Amino acid sequence: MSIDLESQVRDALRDAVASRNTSTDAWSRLAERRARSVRSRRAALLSSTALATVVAVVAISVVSRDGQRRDPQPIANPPTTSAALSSGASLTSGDPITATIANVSATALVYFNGDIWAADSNAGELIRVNTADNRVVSRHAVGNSPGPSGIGLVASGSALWALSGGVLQRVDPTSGQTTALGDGDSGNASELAFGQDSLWVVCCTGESLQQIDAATGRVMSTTKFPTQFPGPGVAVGHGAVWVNATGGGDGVQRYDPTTKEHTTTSLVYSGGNLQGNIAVTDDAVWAETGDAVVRIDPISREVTATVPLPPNSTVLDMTGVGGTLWVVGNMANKVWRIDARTGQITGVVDIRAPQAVVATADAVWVSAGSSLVRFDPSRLASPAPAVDSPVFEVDGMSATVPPGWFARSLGTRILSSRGRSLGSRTGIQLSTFTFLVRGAEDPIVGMKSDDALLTIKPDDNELPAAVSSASLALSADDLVTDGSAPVSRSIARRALVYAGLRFIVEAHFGKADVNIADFSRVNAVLAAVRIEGIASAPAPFTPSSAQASVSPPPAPESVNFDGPVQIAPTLAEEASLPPANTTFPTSLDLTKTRPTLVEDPIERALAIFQPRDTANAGVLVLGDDGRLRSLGVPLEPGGDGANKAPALTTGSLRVDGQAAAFGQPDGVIVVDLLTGTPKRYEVLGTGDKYQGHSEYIEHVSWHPDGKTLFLSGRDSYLLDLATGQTKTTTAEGWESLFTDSGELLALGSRGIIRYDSATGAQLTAGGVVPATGYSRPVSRGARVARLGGHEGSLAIPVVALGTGAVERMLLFKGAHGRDTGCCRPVGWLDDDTLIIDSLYAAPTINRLLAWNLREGVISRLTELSGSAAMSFARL
Amino acid sequence: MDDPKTERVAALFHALSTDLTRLAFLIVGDWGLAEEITQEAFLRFWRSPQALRDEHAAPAYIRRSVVNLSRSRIRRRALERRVGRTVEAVSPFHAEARDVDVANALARLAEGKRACVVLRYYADMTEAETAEVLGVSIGTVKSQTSKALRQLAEHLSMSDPVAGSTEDGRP
Repeated sequence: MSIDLESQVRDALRDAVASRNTSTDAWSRLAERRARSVRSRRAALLSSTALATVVAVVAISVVSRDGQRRDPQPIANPPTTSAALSSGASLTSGDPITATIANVSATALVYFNGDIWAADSNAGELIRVNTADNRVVSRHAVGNSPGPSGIGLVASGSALWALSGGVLQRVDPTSGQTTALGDGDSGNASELAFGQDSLWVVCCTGESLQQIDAATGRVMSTTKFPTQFPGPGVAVGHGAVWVNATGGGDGVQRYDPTTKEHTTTSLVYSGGNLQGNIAVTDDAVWAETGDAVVRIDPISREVTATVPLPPNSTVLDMTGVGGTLWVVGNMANKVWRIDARTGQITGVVDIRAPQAVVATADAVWVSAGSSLVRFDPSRLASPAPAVDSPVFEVDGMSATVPPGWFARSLGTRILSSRGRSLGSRTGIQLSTFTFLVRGAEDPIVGMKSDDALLTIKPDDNELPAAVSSASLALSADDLVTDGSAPVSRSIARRALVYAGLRFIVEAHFGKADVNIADFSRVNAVLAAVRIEGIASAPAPFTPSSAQASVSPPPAPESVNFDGPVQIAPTLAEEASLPPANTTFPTSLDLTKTRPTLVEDPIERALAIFQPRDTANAGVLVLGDDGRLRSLGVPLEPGGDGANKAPALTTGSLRVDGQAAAFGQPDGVIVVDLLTGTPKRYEVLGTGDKYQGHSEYIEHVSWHPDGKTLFLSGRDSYLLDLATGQTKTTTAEGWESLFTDSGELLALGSRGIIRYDSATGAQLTAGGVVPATGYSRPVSRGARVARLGGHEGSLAIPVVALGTGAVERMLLFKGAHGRDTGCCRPVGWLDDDTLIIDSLYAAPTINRLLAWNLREGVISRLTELSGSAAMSFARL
Repeated sequence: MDDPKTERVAALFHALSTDLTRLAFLIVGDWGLAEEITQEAFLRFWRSPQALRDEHAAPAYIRRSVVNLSRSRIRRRALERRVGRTVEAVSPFHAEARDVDVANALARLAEGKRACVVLRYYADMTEAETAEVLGVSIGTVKSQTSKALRQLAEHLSMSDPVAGSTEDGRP
């Protein structure tokens, strides 16, 4: 393989994590954990059954654009089948379990000719269990060593088929011998089904559906899906192949092998751990959408029922037999029977950590842990009267919605449980929700602590996050009902807007308060979240509908959710954008040799540039006469030993364009741009000089008074330019800057955090913010912008400093064809116009765009002769 | 922060935790989990007598711990999920945009291959070190790595001459 490929992989890997840093409080959390673990070992058994339950409930009140608050919308009942979630035990009579066979662990089960075949992906073996005497008949190693994808199993007329390590294997049911089929190196297949005389394999992380000849293993046809997505389930029935592509946002895909026709039934992710299961019953197709299963009419392809499941049930398997659907809720420790006609849950079996299920005429087999459990479905009692799903009654809750946003009633949903992050880190996060926190005994919870909803396996430290007594020490006074009182600081708040339709609110429990290891028997934290409304915003801003931005917003009920999102032009469309109406030069050649500032003085700089491509390239200064000069001051590159970067960063140029600061390995160089005179400041602070990591300053930001510099390297500092004295601050360098009003603030994953610009002390705790983190923030006036991600695309949210609300967002949809370093906001042209580095329009053209927030117009500002770091004055 | 052990762990943590968390992230594909793993590795190191022994061996010790914890987390989750439903399947909006290409491409690699690539090209370990950490032969590392590279190259648009450039300053 080429060195080039290796280095590209190396770069790609570094790039993928470059913006990620350990949380600033990571050390204190570790120290706290250490301290607690020492204590808790001493206390040993005393804390054996600490039980913690916190319920966070969120509501958004409706705020119109003129700021007038209306009453919250009435809460509609969920538009779902009411399922007996909390009364599982009453659906069983006696113990339905008739056999438990030890030492059979399985991630997939299939019934074939009187035997149950269990695929154990961990041991890489197939285990055959006789259904007559419930005994293990034989065990067979599977040919290919199983990869992490485990083993899938299906039975066709005469043979068994296994998917082991992504490779299709034919299994001889008599001898148990396996034969690999197809490309032994493909290793990519992820799901398997049999039907219509063919095997159907979902290949390559949802890329395509392959039809495979069961006799030869030959691929007969390949159908591509519109979107790639991980882990889709596949099932065959009702004349078609059905693929659950909810994970890719594509709902359920129906593929008709005869007509080759593709149709889509849209589904909405219902929270929890989406697994992408799909199964077929007599007259329906069933798809799992996370914390619900939905019934799809195979003829009309419409969703005809939704069966909600307890939050984070984690449906690991489903199977349909006749008119019955069996659903395995791994983390709920339940197997549900659902009547496929009515969509009602008609039976529940408590099985610890169930994984796979197969049903025969008179028995249901479930793998759980290292055992195979058999139960008799006829022993399940007929359903108890339907009980309403747990409802969190909250009176008068409200939270402020950012200006320009609306809310509308969406009904009640419980989206999130566990005190852990759901891993959802993208999306807009509205800024000012108020969470109401209630204790376990509080009547509004409506669930007992021993209910399955709250019980999570105590010994699996991946699953629950327990809450320390500190964050539970909420007095009754904290448990407000009007939404106005503050919540314990230990609970971080997050709200996500996702997929343009849905509103997900996520409760993040401050990790400092969540300790997994120290509470071996703590039940889960349940952060159930109710949403009363869905936030939406005025029609999106597009250049062609700029007028819409100033007209009054339509009534909340009539607004489709679009968010304050403007879609960025594609790379191809950029070329036809209008030129910006400025005196800024339309192109700048950064490759030519220029006179120095001493030879050709300037009165002020509009911008400064430092090409990236050339090692140690000099800084170029654009004077207000539109001509470039060379800075004439040699600079060391920034970055650490392995990753060099330009010393110039977006905060380098002073707002008046008369001085510039550049981070250096041991301090900062400030250059007077009128005279070209450099001055070096040593910042020998407290940086760890451990393991060869030396201090270096990689980020600078000027206080608007020009007297103080914020600097950051391994630590962050405030440098007084008059005295050369530094103070350390905890403001995180990558996220922090001085605003025009002289505020020192950080925009990052914890929201806007403010610091005292004189002492560097932290002033505010942060809140909820849009996903950011792929660039440094740039601020002007009362706004700050930073590159982040939204719905899998790059996006620039523009955040109002006052409210922390997202005012606008520019979405680079798919970012097709764009360079990985693209789309960073690099400065402001005026109070309303953000300058965006679109990077490569061609290998030697680095295009800058100007995005006018007020009018929603994007224009071409200038084109540079290649990639460069840059900083703009207050133009 | 008084006792020498705490001081030592703190110094190591500040020096290594970001890199180790990034390493864990590349293996497990979840930032929160990666942080958790790093914390766990340091906690174990803190508890172990290693923390006061050979100073030069400590980073390697912790790094190995991070790699092993990452791998065992993956295995455990693989057990819990059915065919092909890896961690990445849990949440459709798991990866942030910037990570998407690489994360997706990495996610498609089998665990062993992914670990090889990450250790070789992110952690810059030699083939021998990688083999030792993963508990496999050097030959396996060679073959897994080259297969994985080819696979990655197919998934990523590796033709872009400027791929990998980042914001000024950050590696």
